[in-house]
Amino acid sequence: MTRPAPAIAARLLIWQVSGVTAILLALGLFFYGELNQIVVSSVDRSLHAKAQIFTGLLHEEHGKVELELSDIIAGEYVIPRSGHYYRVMMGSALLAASPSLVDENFSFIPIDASADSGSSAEKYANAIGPAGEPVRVLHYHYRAFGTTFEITLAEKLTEGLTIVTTFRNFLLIILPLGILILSLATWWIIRTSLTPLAQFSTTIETITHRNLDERLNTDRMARELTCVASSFNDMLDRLHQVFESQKRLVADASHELKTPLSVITTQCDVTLQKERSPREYADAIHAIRLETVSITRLVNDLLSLARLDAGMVAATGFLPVPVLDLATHAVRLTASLAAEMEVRVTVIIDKTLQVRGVRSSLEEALLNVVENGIRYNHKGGEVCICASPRENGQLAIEVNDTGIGIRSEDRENVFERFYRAAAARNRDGSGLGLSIVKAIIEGHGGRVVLDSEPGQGSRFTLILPAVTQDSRVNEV
Amino acid sequence: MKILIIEDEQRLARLLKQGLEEQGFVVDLAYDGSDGQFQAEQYPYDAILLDLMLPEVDGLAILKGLREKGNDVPVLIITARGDVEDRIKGLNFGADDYLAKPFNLEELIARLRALIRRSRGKSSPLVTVGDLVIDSNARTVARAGTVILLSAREYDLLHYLALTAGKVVSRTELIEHIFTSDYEWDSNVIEVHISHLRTKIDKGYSSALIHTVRGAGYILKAAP
Repeated sequence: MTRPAPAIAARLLIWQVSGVTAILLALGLFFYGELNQIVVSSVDRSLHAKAQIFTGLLHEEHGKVELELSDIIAGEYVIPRSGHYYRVMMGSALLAASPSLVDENFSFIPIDASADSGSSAEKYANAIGPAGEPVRVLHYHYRAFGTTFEITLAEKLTEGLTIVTTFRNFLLIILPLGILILSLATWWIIRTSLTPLAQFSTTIETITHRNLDERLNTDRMARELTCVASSFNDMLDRLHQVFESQKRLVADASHELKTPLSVITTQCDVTLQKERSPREYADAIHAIRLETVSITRLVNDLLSLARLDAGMVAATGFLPVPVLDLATHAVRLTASLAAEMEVRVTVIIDKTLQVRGVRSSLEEALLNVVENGIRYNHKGGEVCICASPRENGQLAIEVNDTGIGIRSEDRENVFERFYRAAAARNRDGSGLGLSIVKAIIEGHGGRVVLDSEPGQGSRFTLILPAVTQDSRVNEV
Repeated sequence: MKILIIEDEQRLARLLKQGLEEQGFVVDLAYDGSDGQFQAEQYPYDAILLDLMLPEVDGLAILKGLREKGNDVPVLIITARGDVEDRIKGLNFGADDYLAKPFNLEELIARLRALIRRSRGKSSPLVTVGDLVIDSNARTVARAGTVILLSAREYDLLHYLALTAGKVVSRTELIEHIFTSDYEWDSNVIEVHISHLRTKIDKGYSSALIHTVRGAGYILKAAP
């Protein structure tokens, strides 16, 4: 694997493997212990039973105590080092010992003292037998015939321990193997379920601004991933939309910029084509100057829009602005245009009326509307700016003109960037004015309403939040 | 050479007209798509300068309409939309060349001349008929090595006859190619120019190049 394992897979794997290992190990140890216990206790039971038999075999005859061994159990005890041993002590004297012991005084060496168990009369212990084999020893104290007998019985543990060892060896093989197989299975499952994630990331990596219309295929994904993928697809949808509109804006802007630029270029090329009179040169320079004015205007409008798009009209900077000031500003800046177009501009506004907002932005908005009213007007026409309070704490600034009007099919579109109705073509203006107005007014929480009658004129109504008497007191 | 400029940006259109006219072209203007379409279909132009984004009828629609009607007039697209896709689209619609705004006027004129030459089946800017040589870039004429000075109209007339050398050209055709469409002409004007041309081109040379075909028009051809 050349790529580093994903962190999730590694973590899952580590947790899973260590968990499984711990559980299996505990289970193995438990069963190992249990098995040991079972083996030992079965031997213990047999020793106990034999001890009982031995006590039964003790009998007194002619004042002498004897052990009468039955044939049934004698067989195991006569073969030397057969693993089955007994020794009966009466007081400190040896009463009987099995031939299997070979040395009748053989002492069973306990392997671990702590393993001794049972009551004081009956003690069990692990020890090493005469053949060096592990044995289970029972020391049994028995009182009878007025004396004390100590019966020592021993049984080899070899068979039992062989079973235990086999089981242990089995565990030692099966546990690591099981853990290994399980880990591999887990790894495989993790890899398989994370593969769509890898594809997911590969697809995401290939998405650039050029193929924003590409989407993730959610058909064969796990449900958890489908969820992520479809939200991602939704995000792509939104990005695509924004990107497309930005692209359109940039394309429109570049088109709008190239038009005056190509006029300037062509003007220069034509002028330089041959020797001309000073008058002609002056005319050409004048024409170029006019084009630069329109480029400057377009660039300023684009910057305004960019600022508005970036949300730079913030409610935190809003202050009360007298509507009359806005109108006066617009009238002052359009005076020369109005004179040129022979359009009369009148203002009917109560000087106490105030709106809440950013003065410079609102000035720009109203200026654009008034300029529009003058520019798309007839000679001798009129533009009237008035304002009136509306319900819900709003205020309406109306700009009425007697101009060429806007056809109903254009009314929807005049607020769109670079949209120019056929009638407005080849008149000065960037094609952005009304979209700037809309952006500014909406940035102030207001709206723009347009009523128009072609040939009669238009009315633009800017509805803005007003500063009421009460709130004005608060301001002071 | 008569050119139709279809361009809605009137200032640019007028400047182009001035620039081209100063280079000896005869120019008609159309400021919108429908007017442009009408003129393009109505008059025989030597080339059309076509803007794509036009009010009323889109530039590509005009182009498509012309080609569907079998009109092979050379079309040079001038547009602010200079994307590769746009260029490919324009050329695939039947345009002959493509210039993105803002363009260099000299380049525009050079391309226009090349388009017109090629549409007449000539690649060289030098047009030769017998011992007559016309340099269509420098707008100069020479016969048997002697430079002949011509008025603008005379040059236009001779240039057109030279481009169509060997074919009979009617007076109407000549007028349509060397005067703007709104020119109120009378048929005499051609005869007057032809007679001036004969004086300058043929007089004093052993063989005449300009011939009158009675009832049909004129033909420029070298003696066999």
